[in-house]
Amino acid sequence: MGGLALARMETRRQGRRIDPRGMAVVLTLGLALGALFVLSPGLAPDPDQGLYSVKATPGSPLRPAAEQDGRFRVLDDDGLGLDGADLLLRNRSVRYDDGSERSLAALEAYDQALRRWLDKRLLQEADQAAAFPLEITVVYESRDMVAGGGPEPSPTPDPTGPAPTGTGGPGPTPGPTEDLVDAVDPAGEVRRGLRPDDLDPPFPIRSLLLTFAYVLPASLLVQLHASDLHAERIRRRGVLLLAAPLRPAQVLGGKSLPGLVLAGLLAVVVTLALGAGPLGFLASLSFIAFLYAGITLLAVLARSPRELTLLQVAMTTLLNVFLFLPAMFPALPPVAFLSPVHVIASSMRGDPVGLGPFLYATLPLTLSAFALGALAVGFTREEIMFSVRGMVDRLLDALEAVARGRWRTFLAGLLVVPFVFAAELTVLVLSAVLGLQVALVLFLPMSVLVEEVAKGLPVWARARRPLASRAPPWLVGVLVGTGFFVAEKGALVLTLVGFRDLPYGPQALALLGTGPGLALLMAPLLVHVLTSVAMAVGATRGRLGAWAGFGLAVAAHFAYDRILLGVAF
Amino acid sequence: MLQATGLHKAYGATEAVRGIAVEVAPGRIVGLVGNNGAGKTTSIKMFCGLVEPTSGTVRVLGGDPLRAPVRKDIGYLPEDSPLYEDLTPVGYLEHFGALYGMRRNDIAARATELLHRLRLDAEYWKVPIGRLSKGSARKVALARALLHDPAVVVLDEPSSGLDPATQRVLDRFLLELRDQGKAILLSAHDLEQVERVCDEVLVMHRGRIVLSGTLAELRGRAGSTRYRLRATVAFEGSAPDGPDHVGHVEDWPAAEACIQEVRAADGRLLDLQAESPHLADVLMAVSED
Repeated sequence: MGGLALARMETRRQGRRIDPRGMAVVLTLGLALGALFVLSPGLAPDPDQGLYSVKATPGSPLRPAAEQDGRFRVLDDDGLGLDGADLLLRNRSVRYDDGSERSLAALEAYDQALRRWLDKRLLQEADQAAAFPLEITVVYESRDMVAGGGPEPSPTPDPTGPAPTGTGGPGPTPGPTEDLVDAVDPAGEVRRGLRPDDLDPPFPIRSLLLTFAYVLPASLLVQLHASDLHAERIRRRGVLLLAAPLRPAQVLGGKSLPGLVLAGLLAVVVTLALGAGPLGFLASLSFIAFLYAGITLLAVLARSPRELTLLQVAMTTLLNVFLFLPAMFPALPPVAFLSPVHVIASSMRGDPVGLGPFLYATLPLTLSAFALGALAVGFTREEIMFSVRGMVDRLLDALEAVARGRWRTFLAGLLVVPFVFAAELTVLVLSAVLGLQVALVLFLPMSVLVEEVAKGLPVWARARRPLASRAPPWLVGVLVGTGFFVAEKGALVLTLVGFRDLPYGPQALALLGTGPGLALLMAPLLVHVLTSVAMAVGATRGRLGAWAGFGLAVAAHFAYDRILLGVAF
Repeated sequence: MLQATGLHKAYGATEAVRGIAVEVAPGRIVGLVGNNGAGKTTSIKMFCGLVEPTSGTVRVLGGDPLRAPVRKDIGYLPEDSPLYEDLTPVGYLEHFGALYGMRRNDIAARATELLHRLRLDAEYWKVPIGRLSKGSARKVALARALLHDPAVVVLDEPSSGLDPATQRVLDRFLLELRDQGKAILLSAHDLEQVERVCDEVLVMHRGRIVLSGTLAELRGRAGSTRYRLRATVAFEGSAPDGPDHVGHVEDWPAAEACIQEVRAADGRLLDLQAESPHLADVLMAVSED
């Protein structure tokens, strides 16, 4: 209630600071542009418009599919072959350049366009039973592996032939598993079974633009919010809010809510303008929430406006890189779906996104946003917010303030995991520059260090409680270790379930149902709990004890990983 | 009403407050004095629920001020006046009144009453606070602390920035609040104000309360009343001062002896003054220990 009152007052206060005439002009322009995009879908920005050039013979049955897809610029076949074009449609064959990634990507796009065009035509048939004589139910079953590690080819229904199973009746055709056209390479050799899905488009311009369309307005808003919040700190006005009958979460929530709602509304407008659908909107919320929580934390953390600006720029840049880079690899779903932007792009294309990949893409950022927000609440205390002490001390004090009680200690162990993944990914990327061998050698000890430091933070924070009100160290260790384990293995299971075509994925998932598989899954629980307990016990014995506990935890974890690798390989 | 026992606060190895006990009963004004770094502000922040004690307890009307609802009964004025410069005094009070759960009409009525009583001219009520003088801004801050009619009032240097006339207004206002049954804790470097309004004084030094009691009790502990005599003739310990002789004695029997001596010498006692120790002397004595 108090938080809402603060939000209301903040809205009014901020509203008074805005120049009404300027705001009216901006709003009118924004609304006019939005209405234009919504009412005229053709005017909506489409970065892929005319992306590929296609030559086609005028009478070719393949030509209409290209003509009706905006991605293709269709030119008449001039008899000179490809000659600069990405595809050549001649009668019932498609010619492409297998040495050009652009041409391969055009082939993939054309394959999709052709499927859509055929489906559309069939749906226009008066006799739908004739158009869709079969309804095929596909049941996935486990298959035996053939020598060489690849899956044994399964019989594929031929769309032109009789159906192997199924019931009659109208309905849309299921996605065929073979190309509908013969692909002819420049040497004239006919290739079948080409998988255009394996190809990357020439440049993920759509993902890039999407990232900025969502992040830019949110960044501007969040900067206004951050500077206002920072002013509460450096002008000490926040003291009076903390002295009011409001909890720190209400103070921070009340200050942040108006901007957060506005950012959400902006995301709705962007979603409508881009046609990204509800799924795209939900995906965008994950990184908007992350941005808001992160910048809010920086605003209460920074010691000066200059430091705040520096931290803000660093964070926004890192977030953009995180959103943009994975989306560059649409052919590798486990990589592409690291970024929620890929969900938005898929949603815009009309590609289905399963619950697993959606959660995989959005949950880490959402959990990180929650963790950053909780930490910001931890900082929103007079003696931490206005303290002149060092950053580490303030960070541990803030963690101590939010990780009180058993449930919160468990949650703290859980919420450090997304940051661990991000740090480990960074280590992997940076060390990959030195070569794969070196990267693999470096990754193991570095990941152990990252994980132990992450678990150590809530453990060390809890040890700052006065002795009388301190929980037993073994309990703190058990809670933090268990929380960490739950998040780490939850992410693993989510990945295996969400991306069934991962190399060894189905096997790993099947293994989890067996005794040894469960043992392999549960063994890390023991490791994480024991190492956390070691750190918690050490932390109660002064600085030297804390270092000793940390050293012991790192050594034990490293030894476990080494043994595990020895068994596996 | 405000009660603290065994209150202790440490920042790492630094002990800011070392086990103090404070009680401010309804209808009393208690002064908290001490040199810079004595631990007054840290103690006040613990009383208001802004800082968590390392050990010990604070109770406001029986509740722990670390819990948000309990802070509704506290009116806190910090040493500096952190205000929203873009808001007018009325807008600022509306802002905070809403945070304390007050209704709009009540806020308006109470704000009008307080701004009148603190003598902030009505012409400034709708002017952005950033354009007000330091004293006027302080009056707005004071009005905010008292807006929600709290049972416990904690004021840190309330007269800072106020002119002498407004200081007197504030004194009268504090005495009225006391008579209404408010428990008031007043921390001030302005010891004259403390002497004017406080019923009881706590002297803090290096995180501890080293002296407490009524003003008379504190003065008594700081030393007895001294006497200054001026006479037409010399007496023991006197020195010539123009045509007269002036001398100081430490107690009344010594003063009586001097008077007898002047009479015996056919002299005339021109002036006799009793000099009681001031609170400043008490503080000086404490800091010299």
